[in-house]
This record gives sequence, C-alpha cells and structure tokens, in this order.
Amino acid sequence: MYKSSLLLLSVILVLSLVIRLFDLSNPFLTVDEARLAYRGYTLSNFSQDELDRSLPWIFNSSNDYQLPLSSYVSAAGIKIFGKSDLGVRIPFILLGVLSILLIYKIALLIRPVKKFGLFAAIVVGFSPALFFVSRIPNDVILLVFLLLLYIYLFGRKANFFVLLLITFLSMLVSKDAWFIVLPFILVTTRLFSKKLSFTLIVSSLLVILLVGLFLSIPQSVRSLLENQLTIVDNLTIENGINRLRGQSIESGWSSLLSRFLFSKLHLIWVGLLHWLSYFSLSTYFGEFDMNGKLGFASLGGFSKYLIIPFLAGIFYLIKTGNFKERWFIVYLLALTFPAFFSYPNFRLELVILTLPIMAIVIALGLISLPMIISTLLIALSILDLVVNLAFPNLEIRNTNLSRPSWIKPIVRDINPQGKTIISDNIIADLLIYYQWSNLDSPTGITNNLNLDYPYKFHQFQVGNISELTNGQELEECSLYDPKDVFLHSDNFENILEDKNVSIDKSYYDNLGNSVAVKFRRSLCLKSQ
Amino acid sequence: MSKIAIILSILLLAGFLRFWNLDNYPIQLNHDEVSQIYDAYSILQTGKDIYGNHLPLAFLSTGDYKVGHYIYLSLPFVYLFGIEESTIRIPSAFFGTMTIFATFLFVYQLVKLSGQKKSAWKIGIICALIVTILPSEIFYSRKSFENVLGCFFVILGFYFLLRFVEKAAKEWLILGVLCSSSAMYLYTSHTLTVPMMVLLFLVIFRKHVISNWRIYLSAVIFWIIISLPLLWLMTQNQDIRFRARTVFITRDVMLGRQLENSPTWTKTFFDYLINRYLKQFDIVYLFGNGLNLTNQGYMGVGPLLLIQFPLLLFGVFYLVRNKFERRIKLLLFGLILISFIPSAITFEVVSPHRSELGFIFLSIISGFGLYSFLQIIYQVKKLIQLRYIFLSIVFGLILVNFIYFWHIYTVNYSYEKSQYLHYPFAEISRYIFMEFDNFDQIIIDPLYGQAAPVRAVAIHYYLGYYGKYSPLDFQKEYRRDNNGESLNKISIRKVNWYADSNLKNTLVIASPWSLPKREEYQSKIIKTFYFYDHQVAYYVLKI
Repeated sequence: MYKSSLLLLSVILVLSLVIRLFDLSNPFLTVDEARLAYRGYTLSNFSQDELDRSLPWIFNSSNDYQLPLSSYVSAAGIKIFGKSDLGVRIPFILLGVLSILLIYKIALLIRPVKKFGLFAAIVVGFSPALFFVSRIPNDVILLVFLLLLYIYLFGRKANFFVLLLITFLSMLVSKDAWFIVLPFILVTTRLFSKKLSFTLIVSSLLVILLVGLFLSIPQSVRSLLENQLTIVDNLTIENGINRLRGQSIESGWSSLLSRFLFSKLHLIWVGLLHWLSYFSLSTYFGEFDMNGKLGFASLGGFSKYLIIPFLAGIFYLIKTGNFKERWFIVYLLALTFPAFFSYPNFRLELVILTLPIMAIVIALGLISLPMIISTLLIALSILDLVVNLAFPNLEIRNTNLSRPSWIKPIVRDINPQGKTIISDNIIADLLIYYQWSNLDSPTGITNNLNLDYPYKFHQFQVGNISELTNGQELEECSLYDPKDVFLHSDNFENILEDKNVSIDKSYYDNLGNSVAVKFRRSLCLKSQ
Repeated sequence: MSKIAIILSILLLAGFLRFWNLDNYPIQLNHDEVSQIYDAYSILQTGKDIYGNHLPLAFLSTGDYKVGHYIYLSLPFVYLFGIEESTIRIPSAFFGTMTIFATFLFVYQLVKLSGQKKSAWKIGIICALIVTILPSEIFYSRKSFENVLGCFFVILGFYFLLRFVEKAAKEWLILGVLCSSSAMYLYTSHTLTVPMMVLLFLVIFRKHVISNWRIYLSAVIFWIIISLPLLWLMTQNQDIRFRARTVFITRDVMLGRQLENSPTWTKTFFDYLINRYLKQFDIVYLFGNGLNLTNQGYMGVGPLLLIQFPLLLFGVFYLVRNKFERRIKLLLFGLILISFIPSAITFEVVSPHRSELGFIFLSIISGFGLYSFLQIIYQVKKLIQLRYIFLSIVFGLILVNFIYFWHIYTVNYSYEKSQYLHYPFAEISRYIFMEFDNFDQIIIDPLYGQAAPVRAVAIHYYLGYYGKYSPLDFQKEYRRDNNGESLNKISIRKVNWYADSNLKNTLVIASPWSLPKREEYQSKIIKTFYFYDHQVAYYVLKI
C-alpha cells in the first residue's frame, strides 16, 4: 500500500510537472508579469532592477508597490535558465509542483489515509487556477507555497526559527500576507491543538516592524488605501448612505431612525458582504477570472465536475468530520480576511490562497463517494483542463488585451540600434514587453531616473525608443532624423499632419482587428 | 394561544404585509401591470385585447408576448373591484398570502414524514413566519406577477403528494397532480421545473411508487393528459415560441462572443451554462442586493434577508446532522437545485422572479436553522439563563433587518428606480386628457430616463388606462407604423424640436434627452414632470 501510494504520488507530481512545462509560451505575460520577468533578468545580471536601482526591497508595478520576494525568485530562475520563458517560469512551476506535495503531506496530518492525501494532491495538481498561476511569474503561488509549508512544518513540530523564517518570507511576498499572517497562525495553532505560543507574539512584532518600515516610505499610505484598504476611502459608500438617508428623511421617516438605518455602520455591512462574495461557487467551479489574469477565462478554480465531491465533502464534514477536518475550513475565513477592507476590488489572489483548503474539502468528498464515481470525476476534471490546453484559441481570444500575445511581431520589429517612436495606445507599457522579449534590448540601464521608491511609475523612454502619449502629436523634424514609427491603426491619421504616409507593415490582434501600423519617417514629437 | 390562532395570526401578518397600501407601494403601475389591467379590461369589455385580437393565448402587450394566464385570472377581480390600480395586484397579493399557509402545510408534512412528528408543527410555523417576512415574496406579491401564483400551486402540490406518501388515499394524489399542473400552466418557468421536480419525487419515493404503481401510473397518465394542451401551446403557438426564444440563454451577447469560432462549441456552451447556474447562488445576490431596489451597490436588499445567511447555514447543519429521513433531505435539497434552473438558462445573468420558488425553499431551510438555534438555547443547560439575551439578539436582528428591507422597499425604491416604474407616465396621461380638447395635436416623446435615455414601451397603455379610454375606441383608433404610434390626436414618437417647433396649436411633451439647449425652448415650457427623485423627466411645451 505504501509503495503503491508513493508510486501514485510520483505519477501525480510528474504529470503535474509535465503539463506545467507544456507550451511555455502560453499564457502570454501581462504587463506586470513581463516587468517581473525583465526585472529578474536585470537583477540576476546587473544586480539592478529595471529602473537602475541596486538590489531594492520595494519595486514598481502598474497598480501598487511590489514586495521583493517574487522578483528575486524570478531572478534565480533567469540566472540558471537564461532570459527565456523557461527561465522566468520555472521557479514558479516548481513552487506549484512542491505545493502539490505539501498538500498531500498536510492531508495526511489531518486524516492519515493515503487515498485522501492522493485525492487532495490530484485536485491541487490539476486545479486550473493553481495550474495557471504556477506557469506565470507572480506573488500568489509563492504565498500559497509558503503558507502550505508553514502548516506542514507546524504540524511536524518544526523548529521555531524555521517557522519564523517562513513567516518573514511570506511577509515579503505581498502586503496581503501582513493582514493574513496573524489569523493564519492562530488557525494553525488551534488546528494542531497547541496553545497560543511565542510564535504568534514574535510574528506580530514582525508584522508591526514591516508595516512600520513600509509606512516610512513615500506613498505608502496611498498604496494601502488604493489597494488593500479601499473601503476606507470609498466615496460611493458614503454617498450611498447620504442619499438613502436623505430620501428617508424627505419621506417623513424620523431622522433618528434614518440615521440608525443608514449610518457609517454600513461599512461593516458592505465589508461583510464583500468578504462573503469571495465564497462564490461560480468563481470556484464556473469562471475563475474573466480577464484571464490569474486563471483561465472559461474555467473555474476547479473543474466544474468537482462540485459534486465538494458538496459531498461539505455533507461529510457536517455529518462525520473530525475536529481537524472541520477546523481546516476556518482557513477560508482567515485567508480571505483582507477582503473585508478591499471593497469594491475583487482580489482573486485571495481566492487562490483558499484553493488548497477547498481541495481538502473536495478530497473529503471524493473519499466519501464510491471509488468508481470519484475516479470518473477526477478523470473528467483532468480532461477539462487538457481540452483547454489543447485548444488555447478561445483563451487567447478572451485575453486579447490582458495577455496581448499579438504584440510579439511589433517588439520584434523594433530596431535597438535605430530610433523609434511608439504610440502608448497600442498597449500600455509596451516598452517593458520590448525589454523582456528582445534579446538585443538595452541592458538595465535606462535614463538615470534616480527614483528611490517608484510608485505606479510609467516609463516613457528606453534608450532610443520614445513613447507617444495621449494628446501628443508628431511633426516633421527640422533636421532630417528618420525613425521607425508605430502608431495605433485607428488614430494615426489624427496624430499626423501629413496624411500621405506609406505604411510598411500592419499588425493585427488575436481577434483579427488591425491594431498598429509601422512606417519610417523623419518625425519628432510636436512641441506643445 | 391555540394552534389555529397562531396560524391565523401569521396569515394576518402576511396579509397585512402584502395588502397594506397596495395601490401606493410600488408607487404606480409599471409597464407590465398597466398592460395587464388594461388588456384585462379590454377583454372584459370587448372579448379582445387592445390590438383587437380575440381572446389571445399570448398577449402582444408591449411586444413581449405575455402568456395570458394572469390576465385571464384577474378578470373576475376586475369585474368585481373595477379597474382600480390595486385590482391587478390583488390576485398576486392573495396567492402570496396563501403561499404562507401552503408553506406551513408543506413543511409540516415534510417533517412529519421524517418521523419528527413532535417538532413538525413548530418547524412549520417558524418556516411560515420566515417566508412571511421574505423580501422577495413580499416584493413579488405586491406586483402583478404570475410567479407568485405558480409558487403557491407548486408548494401546495408537493404538500398533497407528501400526504399521499403518508396515506395512500388517491384524492391526495389527484390534488397533487392538479396543483402541480396548474403551476405549469400559470408560469413558464414552472412549466420547465415542475416535471423535473415530479420526476425527482418519483425517484426519491420509488419504493412507494412501486408498491402503489397502479395509482401512480393512472396519475401520470392523468397528468400527461391535462398537460397536453400546454405542450401543444408551447410547441405550436408562434407567439409563445417567440417569447421563449427571446428570453433563452442563446440571446446572451457574452455567450455569443464566446461561441464565435470556438473550436469546442459544446464544451464552451456547457461551461457557460454551468457558470451561469452557479451564479444563482452568489451570496451578494441572494442576501445583498439581488432584488435591485437601489442604485447603491451593496446597499440594497436581496431576495432573502442578510440575517437568513447564518440561519441557512444552521439549517443545513441541522438537516444534515439530525435524524431526518434521507428521502426528505434529498427532496428538499433537490427542489432547491431545480428551482434555480430557469433563471440560469435565460439571457439575464440572474432573474430573481424566475427563482422565487428557490428563495422560498432556501427560506424553509433557514426556518429549520432558526428552529435548531432555538432548540440549542432551550436545551443546552449553560445557555438557559442567557436565553432571553440570545432571543432578544436574534429576533432583534431579524426585526432590524426586516425594517431595513421595508424602508428600502417603501421609501428608497421609489426614488432610486422611478424610471423602471415608469413613474411620470400616470401623471402625464392624466394631464394629456385634461388638456385634450385644447390642442389640435399632442406629441409625446418615448425617450426618457434618469441616467441615460431609454425607450418607454407602454405609453399607449398608460394613456388608455389612466385616460379611462374605452377599449372599444382604443382598438379602433390606435395605430402603429414606422413613424411611431398614435391614438386619436395623440402621437407617440421621437421629438424633432427644429421641425416640431413650427407646428401650430400643439402640445409637445418631450424629455430633455430629445431637446436642444434649454434657451431655445425655455419660453414654451408650461409644465414640468419630474421623476420621483425630482429629476426632470419631461417638459410640456405649448406651440
């Protein structure tokens, strides 16, 4: 039995690794993933990030500051495998596969039945969303891995300092970890029937220290308010309260009652509903991410077929589950806890953290169902994922803007030796794609920006390549200075005074729409 | 207090919540209601709908081919109570109230069959009480909606079927068949779900079916016979088929985009369908804002009260853990799953009116939850001393949550959604007929809106109903062509100010969306109509 389960586990791990290594050009990277990839390259080769800063601890991204761990992890991959899809993706693929092993081990800590562990491993291994995030450079799979590692090592009574190190590393992955870590440790301590320990106190101090350090940098409060604590600054709630209360008073309801019904307490109501909205069956089993950034646009966190064992698992838990199995569910609340504060943003990262927990519930359902049905459901769920991989067209079409693979020929046609102007409405942050995709692109050296803490910083120029921003126009240069110009197909005529340009090449997106044209002219940015 | 008195008190409360100020809340008849009452009036007066169709099965109405059951059912009420605004809402409010009684009977029988005879009465009462204050049940009972009637008959039908399982007296089975097939006739969603529900019942109670196969077989044959005309209607009547096609999921634009050039057409469709079905169980939709009574995001009301969420969890826990008969649990959970299918296969992401039955079944589970909570308070010794505190907290929260709903429904809904209630049209129609003799021509603009222009589809019904227009004259005088609609000297068409301002002795009722800068027509304004939230809806311009 031991040997056969070991063999089965090995098969699951190998299969999971193989399908994760299949067609590494897909999914195409988003802007932030491309930035992370390119940063990995500059860090590993020049010990600088993409903005020329030496080994920083806070990085730039489109919407927020980015914490450091994932950047250094991607740097490690690129150091070994070079500036390639494999190089940037392999560390995350390995973390994804190791997470499968960890969930197997954790399942056995909860219920020492090999079949249960194997089911949990297979569910995590072929979860479309976990599969997806383990093939792209990102924070969330790193956090999943570290949290699972923490649970496993805690259950195995690991050394206090090892646990502390994992806590510290988790807090260097994303700011969400700062909110999660204390409730997470509380749940873990209770899960293994330990008393609240020294770990919690030291971890609390660590959180305070890191948050304190973060608050000392510029834009830190803004970063928190715009990303993690959006409910605090949300005007729509306040306006809504005032509006409903005003209508109430105008209709003759007593002012006191109106104030009681429509007050700032609504923040709790809204926060609570927003938190509950994370436990959506359609996200878990229907459509995980319609934008295709953190999951397949047409698949859920798990295959739709697994909703049957999920429901069976819930019934099993209610009816006969033991303490550990039931308590494990509390992780769902602990891991999505930051959602309370993030209205109206739906942060799929938090949902991904809960997928291994849901996998345990599904595995409980699978062992409670007849073996033949469980096997059939597992087979169907794997098939679901495989069909999606075999026919990537739908996915590519659905993610036309978020994962613009059509940009490849454009960045390939940029001549690093010549001068180039690129319109920013072809796609935002096109330059970062150029830097990542083009092997001949300039090094990490940009333009001596001297930025200490770049927050949502947008680069307009890399070497000889300039970005034409919204509202800018082009004119003939006073001195002959030919450049390659890439403009969006829809508006290049508005930007140019002389409409008679001969277009060298047109580019099309994944939906077949014309997106950009290239021509060569002596053009300069028109002075305002 | 005797048991009957308790049931009567609950029914009185239910009746009060559904009949109180029925003509004022919602503030006026919406486009569906006004078309139903005026068509009913027209049928009663002339035997034809307002377009002159003789006793149609599907009414052209506002172009959506309404299935005519509700209209025909309201005829006696129109005959008895006249064409008051509340008349059209009475059948719905009445059956909504009776649904509470049906719920009590259904739950009572369900628990009794589970071998928990002692608690059957208490659970039945608690569930009935929960459904009494259920937002969606109150909301739909107070507007003319056939889903309420359908729900009543489905629940009552299952009560009879369960009675038959208890005592194999064939009259219960006949009543069950009659009720369930009536529900199928009354509401299209139930046409789809009732056969599935009955099949579920037959599978779950297969032992009983086998041992009484002769009676069941005759019942099924009887059921098929009385359902045949419906089947014929559904497949042969072009208007009804048109209606079904226009609301089916294939009309969904998002699905269309996904299917376009999809190499795995069937899988894409199936994935989409499953996802749509799962969306019906979205927590924010169910407990937060699913009734769409406000425009303030999460600050609204769901088909169920938010407090029902923990009660629902308690209920599931109680049902699964307690020694209820497996068949009963399967039936209840199965009925819930089937109830949400119609909403999942239509073009809207969620359509609460098609899921009303599901909301009632979910409320029944939350009733079980409340019962189990009360049981814990009264049975756990440590909690007995604190029971009044616990009871005050729970019932206090239920009360506050209900008052919140009631406030949103009776106050904020009118402000926030007056456009959807076609708010200005009753007043406008009355005004038009007041000024009717003073002008050669009256033009009314169908474009209106609070946030963006939308096209009003039922203005002619408002004119007919609120103008007290004789249906016979209406049938003769109403015209519709490419330029718009007309009734006598009233034209319903888009206003072209530059052309229309040259007309003589004309009353133009136009929304700001169709007019140029205010300076150009300021001097012509003789009256302004407002939405309920005081935004300008229409200007009346004298030319």
